[in-house]
Amino acid sequence: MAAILLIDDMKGVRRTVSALLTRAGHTVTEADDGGAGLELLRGGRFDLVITDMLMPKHDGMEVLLFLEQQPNRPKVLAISGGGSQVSADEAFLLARSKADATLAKPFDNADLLAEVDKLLKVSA
Amino acid sequence: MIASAFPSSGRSAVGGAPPKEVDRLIALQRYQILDTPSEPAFDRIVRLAALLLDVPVALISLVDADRQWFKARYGLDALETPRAIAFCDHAIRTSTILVVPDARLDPRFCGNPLVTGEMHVRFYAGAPLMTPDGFALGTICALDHVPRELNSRDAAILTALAEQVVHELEIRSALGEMYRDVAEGRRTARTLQGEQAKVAAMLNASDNAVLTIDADGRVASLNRAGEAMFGFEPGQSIGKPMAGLISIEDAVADDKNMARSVDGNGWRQDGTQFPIEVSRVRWTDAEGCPANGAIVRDVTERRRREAAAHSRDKLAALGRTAGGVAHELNNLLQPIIGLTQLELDQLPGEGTAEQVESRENLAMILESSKQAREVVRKVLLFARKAKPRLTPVDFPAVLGRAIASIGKLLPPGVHVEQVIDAAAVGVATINEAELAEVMANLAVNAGHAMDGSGTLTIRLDRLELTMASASLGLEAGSWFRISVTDSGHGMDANTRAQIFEPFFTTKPIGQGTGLGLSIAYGVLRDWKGLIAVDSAVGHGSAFMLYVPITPTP
Repeated sequence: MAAILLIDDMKGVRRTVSALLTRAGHTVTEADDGGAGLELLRGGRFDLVITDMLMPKHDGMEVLLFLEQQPNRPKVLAISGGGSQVSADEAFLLARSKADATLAKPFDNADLLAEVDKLLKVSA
Repeated sequence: MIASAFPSSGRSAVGGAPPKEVDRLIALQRYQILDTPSEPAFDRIVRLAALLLDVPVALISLVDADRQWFKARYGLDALETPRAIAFCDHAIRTSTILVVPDARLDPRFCGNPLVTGEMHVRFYAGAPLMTPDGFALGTICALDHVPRELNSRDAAILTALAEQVVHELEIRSALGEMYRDVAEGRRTARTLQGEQAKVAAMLNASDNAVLTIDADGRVASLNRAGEAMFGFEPGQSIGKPMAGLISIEDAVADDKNMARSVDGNGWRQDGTQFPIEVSRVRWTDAEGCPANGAIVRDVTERRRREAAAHSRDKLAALGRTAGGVAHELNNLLQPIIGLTQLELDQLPGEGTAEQVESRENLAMILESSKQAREVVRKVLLFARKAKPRLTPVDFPAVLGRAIASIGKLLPPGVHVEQVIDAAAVGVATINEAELAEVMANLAVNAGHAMDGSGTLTIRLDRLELTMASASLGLEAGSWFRISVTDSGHGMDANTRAQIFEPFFTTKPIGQGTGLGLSIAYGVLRDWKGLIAVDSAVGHGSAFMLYVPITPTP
């Protein structure tokens, strides 16, 4: 169906999202940090990027800023539970201007699938 | 200046010093008057002489070895002239008045620079200043720029004034240093009066009590602010035992600790107590005895502010911690919720007993984790990390809707009474959903406090503060005040102090998260408002919500 890049530093979140989307028929590539995600983005072609906003080394904002420069960039869904200093809303405030959609953790499976479907349909 | 005004050329016709001149000079020195500053007593005499004799110039001239020095001058700027040209040098050689009606016509003076120069002296009358032991120290003299005569009345006046000058000189000499000290003392006394008035005015302007204590430990003086502080009528405090007014925690008043202010308690005349801060002072009084006093500050307001600031800081710290923890939990709840849902979706709806039980277990995990997600949401609401949008709303209308929806949260025995003041109209910049949540939380708490029956009164009125209210902790301005009063069991001070802390609850485990009032606190803070509580055991509780009124054109 679609090639999806998933960037999140939390292993549990990656496993959940990956399992759900794989079961829905998508191909999911995982990265545990914004830096690793950027490497994968430079090397391959994705239909959708799902990125956490707050990560220790290279955060979601770097990913969003990189993609902004790309022609024919994939759609981006930003997800965040916030960090200890920045709230989910503040992170989303940054993300909203750059990402195509946002979801606050913990979200329901159905909400994620609906959001992904919507983004892929628009891009298709 | 003197040299040019009084050129020393053209000596007068007087030759040689008068007899016993050395003794005369010694006598003059004895009076210690030469080159002293002007003194009112002598200035008055020359002014009198000029007025009474109707002359433009009058002088008290003291004849020194080679100059005449003026102790007092009226109508003349020069401090002294050379003795060689002095008329007075002639006058002191006799014991009577020397009169020169027209100096131009007098062979002794017609060539004198005082006559030919710009001083233009024509008339001179000088009465010698004769000491009791017969020395003429100088003269009191009257000068005019036109020729004239001295009648007997003028002569008598001049003689009397000369006697007065000598009298003053005698007093001055007899008193010696004291003569100056008296004049100095009068000035000092005036300065001191001014200082006292200044200090008294400043003490009375201060909010602090300034008191002095006599040797028996009784109030010797207390400023007006102090009388007001302790509840005295003006003047009533004098003689009251100090021990009945203040007690300080650190009773040891050694010198090392004097500078430090100490905490204590004050008692007003009506028996009420208030916290004070005392700075003790010690000095040596006019009699050389050690004296005691104190500056007392009423710190009621400061203590209240400190407590409020402490509570604010504590809640802010709790909010940060709770917010941080909540965000971590969000990331951990994601796999619990997501993977449980995934597993549930995988399991067949029907199956073996074990499969059915597994399904039920997973459903319970999902249900619990969703409840946990709700708790986290509330914590974030308190921590105000997720800020909802604030919009200007018709406040009484929005409050009315919020009140209408709380009925179903209350036990049937609880009656809701709603009092909206007619003057309470206007706009507030708030979030309607949050107001509903805050009112619901307050209603649920009140319902618990009333054990199923009672009255919940919700009032709305308008508060106009022309100046900031320290007791309420509000800035000046227009405020909506919602008071939510229940007829329940009330709270003790301990509970009252903690109710806004997250997870503080008096309800049994499982019946409350302890977040309702924390959220209310956070919400009101975000609206630039305030929530306060007034409660006592057995008297119910009243929660006051202050919301700033948004100015409308």
